[in-house]
Amino acid sequence: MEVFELEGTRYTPKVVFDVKNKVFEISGDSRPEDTHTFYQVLIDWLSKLHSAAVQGDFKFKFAFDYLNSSSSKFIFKLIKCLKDLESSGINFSIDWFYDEPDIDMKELGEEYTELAGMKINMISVEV
Amino acid sequence: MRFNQYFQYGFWIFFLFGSHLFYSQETNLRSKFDFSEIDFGNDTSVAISGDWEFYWDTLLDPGDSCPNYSLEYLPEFWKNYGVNEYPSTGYATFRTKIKLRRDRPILAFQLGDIHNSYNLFVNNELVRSVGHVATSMKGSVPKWVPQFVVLDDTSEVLEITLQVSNFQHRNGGVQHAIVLGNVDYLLSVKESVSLADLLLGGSCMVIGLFFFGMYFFYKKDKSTFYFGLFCFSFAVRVLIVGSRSLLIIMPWLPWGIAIRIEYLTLFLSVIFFLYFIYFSFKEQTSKLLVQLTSYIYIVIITGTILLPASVFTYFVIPNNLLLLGLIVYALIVYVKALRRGVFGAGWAIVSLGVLLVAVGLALSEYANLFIPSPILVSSAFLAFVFAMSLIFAARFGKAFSDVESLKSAADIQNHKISEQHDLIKDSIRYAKRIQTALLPSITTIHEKLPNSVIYYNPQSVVSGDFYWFKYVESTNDVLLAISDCTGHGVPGAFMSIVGISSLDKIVSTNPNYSASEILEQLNSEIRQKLNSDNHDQVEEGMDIIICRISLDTNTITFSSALHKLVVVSDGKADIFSGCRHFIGSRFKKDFKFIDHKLTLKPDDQIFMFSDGVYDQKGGNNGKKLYLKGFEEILIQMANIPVSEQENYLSSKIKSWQGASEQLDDMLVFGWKVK
Repeated sequence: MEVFELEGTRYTPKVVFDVKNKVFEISGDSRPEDTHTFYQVLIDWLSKLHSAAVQGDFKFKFAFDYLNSSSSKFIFKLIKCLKDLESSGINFSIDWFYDEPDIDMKELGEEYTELAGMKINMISVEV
Repeated sequence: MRFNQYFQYGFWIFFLFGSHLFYSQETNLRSKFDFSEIDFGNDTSVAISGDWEFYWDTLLDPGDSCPNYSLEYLPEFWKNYGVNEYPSTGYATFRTKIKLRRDRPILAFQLGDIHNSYNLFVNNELVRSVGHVATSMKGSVPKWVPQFVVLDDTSEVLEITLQVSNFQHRNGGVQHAIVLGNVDYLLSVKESVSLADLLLGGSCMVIGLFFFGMYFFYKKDKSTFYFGLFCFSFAVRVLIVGSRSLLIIMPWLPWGIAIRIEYLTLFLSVIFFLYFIYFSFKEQTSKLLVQLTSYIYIVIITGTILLPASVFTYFVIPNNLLLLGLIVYALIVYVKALRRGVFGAGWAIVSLGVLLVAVGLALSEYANLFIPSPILVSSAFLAFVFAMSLIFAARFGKAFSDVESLKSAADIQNHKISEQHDLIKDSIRYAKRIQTALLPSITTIHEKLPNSVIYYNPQSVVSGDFYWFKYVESTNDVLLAISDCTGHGVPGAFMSIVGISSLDKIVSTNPNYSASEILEQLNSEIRQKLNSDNHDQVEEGMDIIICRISLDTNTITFSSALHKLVVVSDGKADIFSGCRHFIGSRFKKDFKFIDHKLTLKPDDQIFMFSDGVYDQKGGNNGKKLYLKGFEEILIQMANIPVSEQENYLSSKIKSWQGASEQLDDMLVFGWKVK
């Protein structure tokens, strides 16, 4: 339960869930052929944190470069899963990085804030 | 003493040291050699081996007399003489008389190594001076180069005087017998020895270079590198000892450097050989042993470079012992490797066998068993090196045949994959026909919207983007939708069919639904069809914009789920965003979409599109085009005739995309008001 890591590929983002340092990150391109399977693995892993002996403040960094529409649906599921973890004493502070001209990416972050009822820090990156 | 000498000579010869070309017909006369019985015909030579008058600490000129001499054997280093225990450094004169018959052909002397400089007199004449003979270190110049001296003197009795001095080497005196023989015969022998040396040295050098080349192209296998180094240093050694071809080519090479090269190549050959064994048979070789030996050789090699020759020449003794040990160890390693079935181990053992034959041939001359021709000895050593290279040949041959069989396996696999690929491709191509049939034809659209353009570019044959068109006769309205379903390719295409059929169904129920009402209907339709609330798995749906264009009034009403609409008017673009709610979402079940109404004036152009176009990466930094960049393209596009717009857009997108792959389906619809 220490660290969960996936190398980024052309189709899938880089994933680092570092429980020890309480820093989680998903970054890069997300357009898997089978979005469901890819994200379900992440969501299942995160759900296990409920029963893990960890608590406290965690950081979660989303820094997508490219996101296809079905990925965005599963990321919403993942954020809801983070919200649920609050009941187990795991509080995530979420940073949502987007390139300054990428209006869709910005709007998506804002949409998650609204839908999931979690505060998401919007961080604009100059291109 | 003799045994030790033979032992040492053996290993000198092991690396082709020494001019082992003379056969010694020992005529052991005391201070006088009577060769008058010998006619010196075409193939006759004789070694002037035996007792010579030996004047220690004296440089006698021809004709000088001195009572203090002893009779000592030549060839031999003077430190091995009798009871007097001469030091290795010093100077001395050797003298003898030779009786020859008067009717003899032209004769010549052949001189090998004499440590370290000498003057040779025949009767009163100085016939050869090699290096510089002196009575102290100062002024003495050492030099080792085989000499060939034609005898001009025709007298019956020749007095031979040989002044020798040594201040540099651990052995002083005459190492190789002085040979007298028929000039033609000696020349031919000399030539054959040189040729044998050049053949062996040259061949080894080429083999060495070849293996360097192999290492250059395949650095993973270090054994080729060390084998190359071994061949190379062995070759240099062969050329610098023996007939000393290298010194004949480079006479300016100082003795101190030449002798260091001679010894360094010997030591390096051994250590390279060891590393060759280690990297060839890594599993069978003890790393500790290799390291330990390396440390010893680091000391030996550093010593050879830094210490004087009188000291470092002694290193040949530990070297010979280590070499003997190494050969035994090599045999053990090879046998182990052979048992393990390591490729090339058989040839390794053969190479050791050949080495033993070569050493045997070389030693046999010293043991006076028989005189092998120098070419034979060289060939034996060459065969040894060649047998070693066969270790690689066997290994590479195996690798190549492995690659071949892998390749044929891969070919079969590839064939299967390409068959499957063709099958899938065919089936998708067929699916494309169905999808195309479901999309409204351009002609139909042009009938009602003559100034419209559609750019439709699926990422992979079939598309998750679709456009939908309906003419409502009762109100003279056109309903038009642009949609981007979740997924692309086959799953996207499935979704598009769901979208198209749902829209058809909704509008056939009531063609007068407003745009927002159609979206609300579509939302509940898709939810029902795909994302029933108790079904947690599917997150499918679509982004869509639908607009109702009134052909009579040039007004449009649109409603959008996550899509944008751009109106280009007078060279400026206005962007209208839709609702942030996606069709099929499991949240906010009864989401109310909003209608936007726009009145357009002539020459205004509206654009609707999927995000695939402006999310495409490209440009100089591989970044997305972004809406901003796309907007600029749309402004330019609206400026040109509608009939040229599709090509214009297509070329703009292609040039943006460059070599990057297409990331998503692309769809753009534009309509210009008359």
